[in-house]
Amino acid sequence: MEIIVRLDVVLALRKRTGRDVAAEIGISEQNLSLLKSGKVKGIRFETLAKLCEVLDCQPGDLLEASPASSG
Amino acid sequence: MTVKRVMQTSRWLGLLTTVLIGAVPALILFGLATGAFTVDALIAGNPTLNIVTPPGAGAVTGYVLIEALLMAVGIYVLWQVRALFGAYAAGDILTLESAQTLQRAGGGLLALAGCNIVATAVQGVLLTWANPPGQRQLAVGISNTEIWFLLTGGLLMVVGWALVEAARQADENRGFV
Repeated sequence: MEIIVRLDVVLALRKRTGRDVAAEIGISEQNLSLLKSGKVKGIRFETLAKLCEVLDCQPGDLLEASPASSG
Repeated sequence: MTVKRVMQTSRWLGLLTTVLIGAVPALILFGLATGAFTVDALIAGNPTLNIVTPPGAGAVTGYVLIEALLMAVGIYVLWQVRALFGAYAAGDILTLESAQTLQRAGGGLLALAGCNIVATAVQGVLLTWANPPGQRQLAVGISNTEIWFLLTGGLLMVVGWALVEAARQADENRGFV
C-alpha cells in the first residue's frame, strides 16, 4: 500500500491556491508544493489539522491509501 | 537565536584554531632555534631521569622526532576541530558530517593521550641509553594531561555518537511537513 496525497484535488474543489493556503496554515509554499506532489516522508498531525480546518475537509479527503504501483 | 550564536562563536573559535595550527610547529622550530633540544636542556628538562652519560646525537634526534610525531597528532586534532568550527560557522550543525568530524577529533585526542604515554617512556629510554648497563631507565606513567586527554577524547567520541543519532533524526524531521 502507498499513501496518495489528494491535496491538489481538494484545493481545486475549494478553488484555493497553494500560496494562500500555505500562508494561512503557516508553512512555506515550497513545503506545501512538496506535500502536494507527495515528495515528503510524512505530515504532522498539526499540519493536517490546519489543512482540514482551512479547507473544511476530513483527513480522508486529503489522503488515500492505494495498492503500491509496480514501477 | 541559538543557531546564530553557534555560528558566530564557531567563526571566532575557528580563527583561533587556525592560529594554533600555525603556532604549534612554530613553537617547535623556536625551541630548536633557541636550544631547547640541546643535550644540556634535555637533561635539565628531565630531572626524574638518572642520566649518567649524556645522550648521543642519535638519541637526541630520536627525542626530537618523537616530539614532532606528538605535534603531528596534535595538529590532526586541531585540524578536525577547525573543520568542525568551519562547518558550524557555515550553519551545518546537525549534520552527519559534523558529528563524524567531532568523533574524529575525539579519536585524535585519545590517540594523543596514548602517544604521550608511549612517547614519554621511549624518550626516557633514549635519554638514558648511553648509561652503563643496568642504569638505563624505562618509566611508564600517566600524568594529569593524559587523563584529561583521555576524558575529553572519550567525551567527544560519545557526544559524536549522540550527534550522529541527532543528525539522523533531524534529517528525518526535515522530510516531515
